[in-house]
Amino acid sequence: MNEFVEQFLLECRELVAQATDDLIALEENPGDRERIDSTFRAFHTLKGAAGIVEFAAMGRMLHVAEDLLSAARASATAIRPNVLSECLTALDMLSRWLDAMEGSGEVPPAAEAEADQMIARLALTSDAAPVAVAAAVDDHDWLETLRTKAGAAFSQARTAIRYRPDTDAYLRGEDPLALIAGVPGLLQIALGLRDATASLATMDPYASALDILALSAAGSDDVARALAGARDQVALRSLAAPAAATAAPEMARTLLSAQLGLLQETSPDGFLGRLASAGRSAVNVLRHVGDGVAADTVATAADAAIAQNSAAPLVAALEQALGIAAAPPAAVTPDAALVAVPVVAPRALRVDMDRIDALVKLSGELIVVKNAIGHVARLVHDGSDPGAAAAALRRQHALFERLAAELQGAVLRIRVLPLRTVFRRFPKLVRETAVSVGKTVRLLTEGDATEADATIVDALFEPLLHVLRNAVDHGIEDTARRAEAGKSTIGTITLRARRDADSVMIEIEDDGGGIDAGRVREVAQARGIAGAEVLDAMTDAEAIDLVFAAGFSTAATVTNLSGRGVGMDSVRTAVGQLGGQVSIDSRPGQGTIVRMVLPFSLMLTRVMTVEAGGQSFALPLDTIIETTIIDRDRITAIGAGRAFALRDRTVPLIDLAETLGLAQDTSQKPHAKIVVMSAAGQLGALEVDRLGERMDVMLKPMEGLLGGMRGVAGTTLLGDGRVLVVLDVAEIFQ
Amino acid sequence: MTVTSTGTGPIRLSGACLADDAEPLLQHLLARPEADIDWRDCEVAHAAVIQVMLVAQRRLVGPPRAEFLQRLISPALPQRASFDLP
Repeated sequence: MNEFVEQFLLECRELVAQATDDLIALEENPGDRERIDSTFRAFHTLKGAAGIVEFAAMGRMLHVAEDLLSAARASATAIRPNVLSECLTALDMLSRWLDAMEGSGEVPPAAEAEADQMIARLALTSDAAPVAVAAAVDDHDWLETLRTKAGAAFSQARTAIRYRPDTDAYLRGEDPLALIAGVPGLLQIALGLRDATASLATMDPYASALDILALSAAGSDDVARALAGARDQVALRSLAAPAAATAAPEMARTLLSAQLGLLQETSPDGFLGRLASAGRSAVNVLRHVGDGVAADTVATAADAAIAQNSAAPLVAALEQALGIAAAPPAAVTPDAALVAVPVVAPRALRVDMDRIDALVKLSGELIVVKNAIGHVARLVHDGSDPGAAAAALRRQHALFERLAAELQGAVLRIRVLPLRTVFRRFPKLVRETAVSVGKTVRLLTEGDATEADATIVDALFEPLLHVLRNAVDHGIEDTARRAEAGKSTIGTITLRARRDADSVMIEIEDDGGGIDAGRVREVAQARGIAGAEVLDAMTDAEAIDLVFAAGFSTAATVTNLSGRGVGMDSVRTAVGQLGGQVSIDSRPGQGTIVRMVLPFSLMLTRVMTVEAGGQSFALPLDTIIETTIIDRDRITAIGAGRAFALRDRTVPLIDLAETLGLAQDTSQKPHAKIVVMSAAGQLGALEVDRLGERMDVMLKPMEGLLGGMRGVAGTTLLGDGRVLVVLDVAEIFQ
Repeated sequence: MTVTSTGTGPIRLSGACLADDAEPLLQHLLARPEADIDWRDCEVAHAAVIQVMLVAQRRLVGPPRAEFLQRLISPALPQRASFDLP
């Protein structure tokens, strides 16, 4: 990829993020002039950027959006919600193009057609650019508008209707909608206004300004009969029966082949984005040539492909549409697709100037230390007092140690991003998913200022999207069932993040129906995940955890599993790659919580070593409140456990060696060495034999057979080659 | 009365809303720029009434009672932030 394109992608992503922020803020507060200005500037700059890389489709689309925003800026009234939503859709589309460009380095082939559609949609929202709209309605074939609005319904239609009642129709006592209502086989109605500048303040309620478009499954003769009363105001078009798939015209075949090519790329970047984009383009192409059946097949396949995180179903459907024999199914298996999506760190990162300044200052101080060490070396060389030289060296070492720690801290802070950068994309996606499945769902976000390593924040988008989509699709019940259960008909999903010591906790909670453990057992058995006896022996919680098992979810379960499970194995894989864990907690009838615990940083963890039962262990320093030595007689037995009083608080005490199964008799010693820790918000204390040193370690999570071991966070290698086990304090205290 | 507006709460459309109801609806909408429109009890809506709703782009509390309004007209009106109650 050339340097220009790299820079272009970097800048565009930032501008898209900024404009998205602004538009979402405008949805909350449509009158915010500064946000409108800022959005306008972002769109304007994006348009300019498109010119630099000769991305004509992007330039055209943004030009129309910019006009809309410019009109909104000039208008005294608040910006209209449909303008905001279409602008957000345009930005989503642009993001997908950028994803495609990042993979191929080229302008995506489908962009031209997609841009045309988007322009038509944008033109329809315009209320302040009458000339542009008049042109859009008159010149732009109204059939196209209907086709875009109707989607799948268009393929069933035999007659398209355009009805523009005369201005004085109401005064004559006509009701154009009542007339339309009498048309047989009505499939869809689209309402427009003849005068796009109409506003409540200026409109005349007695003058008809409607522009009514409709689709009917009836033949044009029947429709004409029903609309005979307004013959002179109505235009009808007969629509041809759907064409056969094999007859797809040359241009359509070329476009479909291009989508196939896009899918066969092996680059892991933006895989899901490519799938979605290819699917959508292919559906549009097929609809355009009138092949509704093939379009529906491809749309279903695209959904399945996204759900399975595999290109295979879509590739097969496209090849079928093109009349090519299906490729061997082994070519792209779900597993292969999973492996092909590793955690990719963002290639570039914009950094706050203050953080860079802190680095510059630190490097200056490091140079001072370097000079001081040179001075000590000269002293030793000149044969001065070794004691004094050693003292000077120790001083410099202490200074150097402090600076190295600060430097590390500063570098880590550069890599840190607030989770807002990924969370802000979800409200819109959730709303759209909800609309597409006919539910009303609101998404609440808490703690989006929580920070985490940039690599983690970036890689969280797809797993979170999977979980949210599942929550909307399977978690939240449909309106009727919710009403029956006495719940609010509006489903609520809460996306929550918080920092807990060295971890970032993310919870996705829905107030839906929960997961049916029995159904999960059935499906798991049917799919050969586990045998009947094993499944019967499992607790409900263990059974529900099977939704994360590879092979549990397939396209078929999307429709018939009354819980969730689509692509959940890919969620566990993705979170695991980030060194995190994901768990699920479901209460029948009340909802489901998916919890992700992720490391704050992919880099170093500070630990303190302790000895117990003759072995060394490490405890994460962030969980340690203090260390202390107390007289053994201050420890009292409470039930089966022990506790002691620390500054008027009773703190439970656990003997670390005993807990870890390392037998030992401590009662002989007059004092106990205690580490006071905070675990899950509670105080607890560990008794150890010896307190060790502090160190920074690169923590490796346990894998394979040891992966499920409780109480162990991971391991690290010591300087002398020994393995140091780092304990998970929260699990020990449970 | 088929168009009613009380101090708070949505502007309500009920029964058959005819061409003559477009003007009062428009006045209510102008007087209360933030009010939603509740059309759950609406059985018939004249094109003039729908036209005012189309221009107003208010949040709609639905679904309306009539099948025609619910299946064909409701989706043709701006859907953003609309919600249906049982």
